[in-house]
Formats: sequence, C-alpha cells, structure tokens
Amino acid sequence: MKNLKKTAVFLLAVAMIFSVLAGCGTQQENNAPETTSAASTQNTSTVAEDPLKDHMEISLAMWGIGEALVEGVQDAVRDQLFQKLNITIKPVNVTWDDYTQKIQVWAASSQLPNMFAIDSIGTQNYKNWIEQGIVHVLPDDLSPYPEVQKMMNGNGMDIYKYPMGDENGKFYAIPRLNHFSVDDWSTDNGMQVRKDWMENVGITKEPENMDEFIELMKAFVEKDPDQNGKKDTIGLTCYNADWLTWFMSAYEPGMLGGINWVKDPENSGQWIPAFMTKNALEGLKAIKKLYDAGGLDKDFATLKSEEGRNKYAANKAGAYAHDVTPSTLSYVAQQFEKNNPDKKYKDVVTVLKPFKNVNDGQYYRLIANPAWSETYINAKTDDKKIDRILRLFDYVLGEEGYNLIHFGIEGTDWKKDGDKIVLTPKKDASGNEIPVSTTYPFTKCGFIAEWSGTRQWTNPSTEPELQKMSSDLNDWLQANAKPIPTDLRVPLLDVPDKDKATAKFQDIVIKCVLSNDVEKTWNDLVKEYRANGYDKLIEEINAKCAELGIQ
Amino acid sequence: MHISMKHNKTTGFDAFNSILMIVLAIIAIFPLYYVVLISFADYSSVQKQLIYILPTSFNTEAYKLVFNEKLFFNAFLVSVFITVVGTVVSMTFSTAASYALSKKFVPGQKLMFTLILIPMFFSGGLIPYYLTIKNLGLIDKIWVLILPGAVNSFYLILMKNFFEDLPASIEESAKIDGANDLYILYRIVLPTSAPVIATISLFYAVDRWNEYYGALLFISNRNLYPLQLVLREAVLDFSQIMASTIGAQIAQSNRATYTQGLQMAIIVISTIPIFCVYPFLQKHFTKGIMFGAIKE
Amino acid sequence: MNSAAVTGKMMNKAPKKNKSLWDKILKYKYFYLMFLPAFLLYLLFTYVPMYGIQLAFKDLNFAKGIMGSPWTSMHGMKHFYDLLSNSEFIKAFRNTLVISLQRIIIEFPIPIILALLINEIRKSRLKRIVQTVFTFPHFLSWVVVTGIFFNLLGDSGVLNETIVALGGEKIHLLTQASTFRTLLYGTDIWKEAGWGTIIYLAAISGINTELYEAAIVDGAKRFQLTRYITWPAIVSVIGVMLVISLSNIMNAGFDQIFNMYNPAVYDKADIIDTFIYRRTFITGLDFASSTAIGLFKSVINFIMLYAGNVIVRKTTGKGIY
Repeated sequence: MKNLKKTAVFLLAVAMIFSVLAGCGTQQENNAPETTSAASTQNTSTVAEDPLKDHMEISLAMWGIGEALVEGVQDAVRDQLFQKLNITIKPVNVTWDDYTQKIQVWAASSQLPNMFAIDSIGTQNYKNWIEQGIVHVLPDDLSPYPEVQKMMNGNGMDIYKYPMGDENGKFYAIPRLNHFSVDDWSTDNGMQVRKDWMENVGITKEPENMDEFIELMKAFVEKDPDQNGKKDTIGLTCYNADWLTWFMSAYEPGMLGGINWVKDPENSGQWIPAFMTKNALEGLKAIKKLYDAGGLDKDFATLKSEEGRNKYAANKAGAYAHDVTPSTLSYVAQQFEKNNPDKKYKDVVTVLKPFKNVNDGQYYRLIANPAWSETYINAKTDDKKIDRILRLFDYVLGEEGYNLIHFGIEGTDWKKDGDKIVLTPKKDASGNEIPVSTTYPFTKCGFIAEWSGTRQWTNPSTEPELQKMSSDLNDWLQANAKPIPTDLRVPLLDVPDKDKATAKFQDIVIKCVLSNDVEKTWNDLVKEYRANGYDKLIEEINAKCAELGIQ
Repeated sequence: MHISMKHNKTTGFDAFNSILMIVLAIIAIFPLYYVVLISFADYSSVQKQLIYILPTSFNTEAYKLVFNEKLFFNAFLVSVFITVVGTVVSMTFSTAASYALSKKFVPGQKLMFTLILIPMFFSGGLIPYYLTIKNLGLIDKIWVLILPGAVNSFYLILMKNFFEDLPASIEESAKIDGANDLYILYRIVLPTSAPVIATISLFYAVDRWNEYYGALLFISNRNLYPLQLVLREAVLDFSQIMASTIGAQIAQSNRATYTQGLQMAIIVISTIPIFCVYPFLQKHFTKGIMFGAIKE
Repeated sequence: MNSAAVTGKMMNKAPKKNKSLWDKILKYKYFYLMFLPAFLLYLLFTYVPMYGIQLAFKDLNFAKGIMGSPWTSMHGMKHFYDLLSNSEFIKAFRNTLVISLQRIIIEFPIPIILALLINEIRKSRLKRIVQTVFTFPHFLSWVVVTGIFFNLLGDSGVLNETIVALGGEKIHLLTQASTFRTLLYGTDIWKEAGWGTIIYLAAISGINTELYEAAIVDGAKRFQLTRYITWPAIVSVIGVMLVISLSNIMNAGFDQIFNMYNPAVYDKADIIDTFIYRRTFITGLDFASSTAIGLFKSVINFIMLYAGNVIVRKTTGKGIY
C-alpha cells in the first residue's frame, strides 16, 4: 500500500513536470515573431507610389462582425467599401458576452487579429498591452489621414495619449466616438414623463424639485391617470437602477451619470469619488423619500433588460428614467405606438429639465469621455497594413464613408437634398420598409469607427419631432447648465491600486433605498469601500494629480 | 416483472401519495407550459394582461422567423451532431474506463483513480487550455466541442460505483468458460447494466446539448455555433454583465432585437428536442421499479 | 505507455515481488487497455495545461507568457493577500460555505425522498408520467426560469396580487435579504429535485425483485420492505452523491444566484463566483488573480472531498474510494 502511494506521488510529479515541459514548448512557439515585420519596414510607401496599390486582408474582431460579414451573401455596401480601399476584411467574431475574455486569451496566446475592439482604457490591460508590446503605436504623423487626425486632436481626446498627461505621449488606441465632444453627452441621462397623464391628474406644471416630483408621482399612482377605472399605474420606473442618477444633479452633481471624482468640499479640495460626499447622502435620501412615498417602482432593483421600458410603454408607469437621446425616444415611441395604435408618442411625452441644485442653485449637465471603447492594432502588424487600416478609418470617419456604411448606396437608398440627407427606403411586398441592415448586412457593423450617437441630432432616420425634442433640450442645457464639476482624466490615471475602484452607483442606490436607515447604510458602505482599497486609491490619485498638475 | 401482493387494495397512503405527486407535477410543469404559451402568443395581448395563464391569442410568427433563419437551422444541426456523436464517444470511453476502475485487484488501480480525480479539482486555467487547444489545431473545429469534455470524472465515479455493486458471479462463470475481460465487459456486464448506461447516457446527452462555454471560447465560425450559444444571444440581459452603464446601453442597442415571443420560441426549440430523448431512456431506469404494480 | 511506467516504478520499489506483479499486469492487460482512451484525453486536456496553475503566484506578462512571467511580490502570494484582505471577498467566502452546507442539509435529501415516493406509486403509467414531468424544470436554464419567477414574485406579480386580495401587505421576496436564501433553496429544489431522482431510481431499478418477493412471503410490511431492501441498495449511491456534493462546497450555485440576485441581497447571497464575476467586468480582473482564486477553491474542495469520503465511509462503510 505504502509503495503504491509513493508510486502515485512520484508519477504525479512526473505528470506535472511533463506538463511544465509542455508549457515551455508552447510558450516558445509564442515568442517566435512573425517574419513579415522586419522585412516590410523597408517598404514604407513613398509619396509617388499609390498607397492603395496592394490588396490587403485585414482581420478584425468586433462585436457581431460575424453577422455583418457572412460569406456568399450579396452586399453592395461591403463590396463598395472593399473596392474603395482595396481590402478584404476578415471577420473574427466576438459577442458582447465574451469579448473581453476572448481578447485577453488571444493576447496571451499570440492569437490576436490585425485589429480588435475593446473598452480597456483605464484598465490594467491597457497599460500592460502598451508596455509589453502587444499593441502597436500609431504613427506620429497622422496627416495622411486627416479625419483621424482631426478626431485624435478633438475635444477631450488628450486622455488617449500614453502616458496620460505627457505632452509628448503617443497614441496607441483609435477611440470609437460616441459623441464629438464631452458636452454632447447632455441628453444621455434624462427623464421622460407622460404629459397627457399630467393633464389627467390636474398637475400641469413640470416638477422643478424632488418634492414636486414626488407629488406628481403620487398622483400618477392614486388618480388613475390612464383613466381605465383601475388603480394599476405606478409613478416612476427606469431602465435600471443606474439611471436614477438623474436626480443627483440637484444634490451631488458628480454623481450624474455614474461615480465621477470630485473635489471634497469638506476636505480642502481633495479628490474623492463622488459617492463619499455629504451631498451624495442627501441625494440618496431624496431618492429614498421618493421610494417610500410610493412614487418609485417597487421592482426597480430587479428590472431585467427592457422591462422598465416595456412597463412605461404599456401605460403602466408615468415617468421613465433613462436617456432622452433621439434613439431612445424613438425606441420607446415604437413600443408605445404598438400598444396604443391611436396615439403618437411625440404628442404625449415631455422631457424634463433637471432640478436646480439645492446648494448652489445651478443646473448641471452630463459630460463624459467622448469615446466608448477603442480599436487596437496588433503589434505584429506591418507598417503597410497599419497605413491601410488608418485609411479605412479615415474613410469611414469622413462624409462619404459614413454615409455609405450607415445609409447604403447613394442614389439607391438615399440622396442629397442640399445639405441634408434624405432616405429613400425600399418597400417589400406588403408595403413595409426594408431596413438597410437587411439589404446590406455590413451596415450592422457600421460602428467600426463611431457609434450612432455622434450624429444623433442630424440623423435622417430618426423621427424628426422626437429628434427636435432631444436637440432642444440639449440647446437649453448648453445655455443654462454647467458641466458636472469633475475632471475626466482622474479615473483614468495610472496608479497602482486603480483596480480597487469597484464602487457602482447601482449597488449603492439599491442598498440605501431599500434599507431602513439610509445614513447608516451609506456610512457603512463608505467605510467598507475605504477599507477595501479606496483609502489607498484616494491617496495615490491625489498624489498623481499633484504631479500632473490636475487642479 | 410484477409482484403480486395478497392485498391489492389501494391504501390511504397510496391515495395521498398519488395526489401529492400530481400536485407536484403541476407545479413542475408550469414554467414550461408558460414558455410554450408565450411562444405562440401575440405580443400585445401578453402586455395587456397581468399574468398570461390561458391563451387568448395564437400566432406562429415567432416559429416562422426561427425556422427561416439559417443561423438557427445550422445551430440545430450542430447541436444534434455534437449530442449524438459526443454521447457515443463519451459512453464508449467512460464505460470502459470505469469498468477498469471498478476492479480493485488490478495493480495501479488506486493510481488510475487518483489520476481521474485530480482534474475534477485542479485546472491550469484558461490560457494554457486555450494554447493546448490551439496547438492541437482544434480551434474553430467541431471536435473541440466533443473531445475535451468527452469524459466526466463525476460520471466515471458513479459508473464505477455501479459496477462495484454488481454481483461477481456472472463474471466469474464467464471467466471459467474462458472469456477475456473485454468480452465480459461488452457482452455480459453492459447488457445487464441498462439502468446505469441509460442514466449516464442521458446525463452526457443533456450536458452536450446544453454546452455553450466551449463554443463561446473556441468557435468564431457562426456556422458551427451550437443552439445554446444562439439562445444566449437572444435571451441574455447585458445590463447585468456590463459594469459600465454606457457599455450596457451600447450592447443593448447594437444587437438584434428579440421580442419576447421570439425568445420563447427559441427556448422551446432549444429545449424540446433533448427532452424527446428522455422517454426512450426512461424505461431503462424505471423498469423493475414495479413493486406493487397492478397488472395492466 | 501507462503500464510500462507503472511496471518500471513497481519494479524499483518492490524487487522481491517482480515476477508475480508482472504476471498480474499481463493478466489484466485488457483493463489497462480499457482505461487508456480516457487517460489520453485527461492527459491532453487536463494535465498538459496544468502548468498554468503557477500563474496564481505570478503577474501575467502577455508577451512573455506564463512561463516567463515574473513572480508577484510577497513571495508569490500577493493575489491571495489581495483577496483575503478584502472584506467583500470574506463575506462572499462565508456565504459560499454557509449556502453550500445549507443546500446539503435542505436540498440534498429531497430527490431521495421523492425517488422513494415515486417508487411507491402503484400505477405504472402514473409513475412514468410523474417522473417525466418532474424533470421538466431541469431543462430550462436559470436565465429563462428567473424571468418567470420575477414575474410571479414582483411587486405586481401573481403572489402579491393574491396577498393583497386576501387583505395583506405586499411582500418583496426578491430584495429581502433575510428570506433570500430560502427563496434560492426553494426554487432550486423545484428546478432540480425531479432530475435528481433519476440516479436514485436507477439504483432502485437494479434491485433484484426476488428479494421483495421473499420478504413478502416472510410477512414483511410495506414500510419494512423500503427500510430493509430498498434503502440499503441506494445507500452507496447516496454516499457517492454526498461526497461529491461536499467536494463542490466552493461552488454554491453560480448560475442560479447570478440570475436571481441583486445588490440588496449581496450580504447574504453573494458567493465567491458572483463576486469574481462582477470584478472581472468592472476592473478587468486578470487571469493571474482568477487562477489564484481557482486554486484557492480547488484546494478547499479537495480537502472537503477527502474529509467527506472519510465521514461517509465511516457511516455507511463505503465511500468513493
């Protein structure tokens, strides 16, 4: 028996050693560099040569690209794009479910495609990939790609310089714009209210503070605003608890849109995460007041994906906390009009202006980093390919490319009417409009270079009155509201403990609102977060800010 | 085989038991009923009602959409292939291995058992696993969904346990007649082990049918997606997954929208087929539980 | 080859028994053959990648790979230190243990009892139908099932409507930390108990019916039949299932909890796996950290396997080895 056990242990050791050796073998495979890079740097394109001379195959990993580039399917948009740039894009599919994991695994096993999309700025990966030579630096001279250059020099884009804060820093990421400037985020957090219900309950003045809002919500619950004889309506619902930050502009503006870093009024201007201020507590108390008064959906903590939106669109709730961008307004309108075929959403909705801040009487509007997610180029890609990739971006960031991959073929699917674009959709046998993404699957990945939020107020495919509603609110906010008092660089600073920044607004608001004592819960939460890394993090952030001169 | 009892009358206990079982069965069947119901229902009638228990509408829109979509059809075939081939492979390897493990007199048996026990607990992590698969050339090949998970230690242990409990007499008499161990396994032991074979086959089959994680990691070719992966895309709620509110928003607005009816139809199609296998296997492990059965 | 290696080592350790051992191995060669395919699979897909465990003690460098990555500070223990000094992790760890143990006490016996009850059904048709229907919920994934539960248990769901109709106050089970675990166990039993009966029914169906006949002839009552014939036959299966359950103590049901929980119940329901999952998406928790946690869980699970086996062997005479 003993002999057998010893044998077992010995053999296991042999097995382990064997596997370690196997590991060494595979790693050596990884470290063998691609042969192309050294040779091709000799052949950088000269001025005289046509930069698009050689056909190139570029592999791209991006959400859902497998659906957009299916083999054997007719797609004139794809063909036109490929032809224009003399490329073929080879799709490497990732899904929203797995993209981070997949890309990390590929990075660790030399399996990365030529370019890939991921939201990693501010994370350890971003830093590691740059420093360990996984992603390629962008050329210093971006003048051959004017649109790209314009974008990289745009508003709020200095955060993409690495190291951040260094004037001579280099770019490693091509950001994927969600808006053209930090200010365009103004309508990305808002409140939609049924103004027809307001009339039915006899309150026609839009609420301008939390108490008035609570009154209105209570009326929605009690006074049968949908006039169906049943007491089956609730006041406010939301996409999910995250969107309750809208109320925070009146208390702690640094918490509008999420947890930003602000200067602590009680502590000589030290930077702290906004949820730790006394004002934040006031805001949480106000939301609790709303909940206790019955004005907030009791299920707000467990709403699944589109449940809140569906409730609101099905006449079960009178107010909806989400954003008031044209696309969301349109989507709600679609649902609403399915449920109420005799009404138009634009006739029954109003978008609220924010409440005045209770401390300084100001209005605040949301600002945020203009881009969400970036494109990275594999370090092993040769210079010629990098040039072609940048030309691809240059094209789709420009008018011609943008219109192609969003609206289809000029003349067939849309035409220019002076400055504006007018869509000319095809109809199918039953008279329904055929969506562009059906005819040209490539347009499903129209977000190669920018999301659809960038041109949201001029997008021809949005219902014009809803678009105007959103755009008007934006105009008002730009004129009357201050940007939230944060510095967008702070959360992205490179400090050793940055992965300790784990606080989420959703967690905080749900725990506080559903507790019996908001102040105690909030205090305990702050204490816990501090002990689990925030104390260190705050120290490091403030030191770094001092170093970089961030006031 | 029926056992005749002197007293054939149903006792009070029997009545109680039967009623209890029926009540529990209703509770158990409800969600599947609900899912099927919604898959055939009309969107707006569902929204109008508080709780949709009895069908008030009927349309097959969702199913038409699903069957017309090449992606689903492919995924269905892929899943069927993986399940059938996978189960056959798994059972072949597993019955052999666990039978061998059940013989304590074989030298090194303890070691063999330890060898299959360790991987149940210790794993080298994702990166080496990925590299191994890559080096074996299995990335984006259908065999990556069959081979790596072909043998499950837990099921091996269960089968070993069953084999150990078998009376040794049958094997001994075969040995006296001169049969070798392989023959004994395949011609004598297995035919009398129908319950455990049926059970473990069912377990493997269901595992294969429900598998998605391997596909998530190793398959980029949409033609090789199994059904469960497609189902996840349709039904998954990204606001839970994405830490950034903006990220979750963008994810939601940039993927195909699936109505509730469509989601339910996909769920039904992803669930029913494996379920159809069940009755065929059930008879093997309910056979013999006929104590007190009334002659039918 | 496997047997050659075994032979070699054996011969080194026990020279006296040379001849008879080699003879034995030749005699049982078919058994080694049977074991071989499975063994090769394990070797390729589990043992070869096992070198990755060392990543738990390293900081991953993407360019250098696992072998070339540097060891972390604190003698390689930094990842473990980070975790164990985080109060949220400790809470999650505690919850994991408590929930797993409670599951064993509350949920584990149910399929056994159900199997015995099903076994008692006289009409074979009803027996089959009931057993089939009981397995239905297993086939639906938690993603789907929680949607239905949320509908039923929500503020405007059936449960609350009934309560209000009966004159009571609405209850919010989904956000109530104190009753959340009970909710977890109840829904899990509902979903999995029926499927869990299969293995026990399979064991019961292996019982020689002559035993029953002989006992009846001897005048045994119905309950005695169950106690003295049915029960001993399934005890060994129960033992195996129990040991396996104990060895899964660090996995307290991620799929279910992830789909059903929300921040209001984190205190009681957050387990290690859900905690890690959240961190992965907020801070991009890296592979090294997750390998460390994996190792941490594995070690504890393995210890529980051993302990569980000892306990089960002492009480029933037979464990899993």
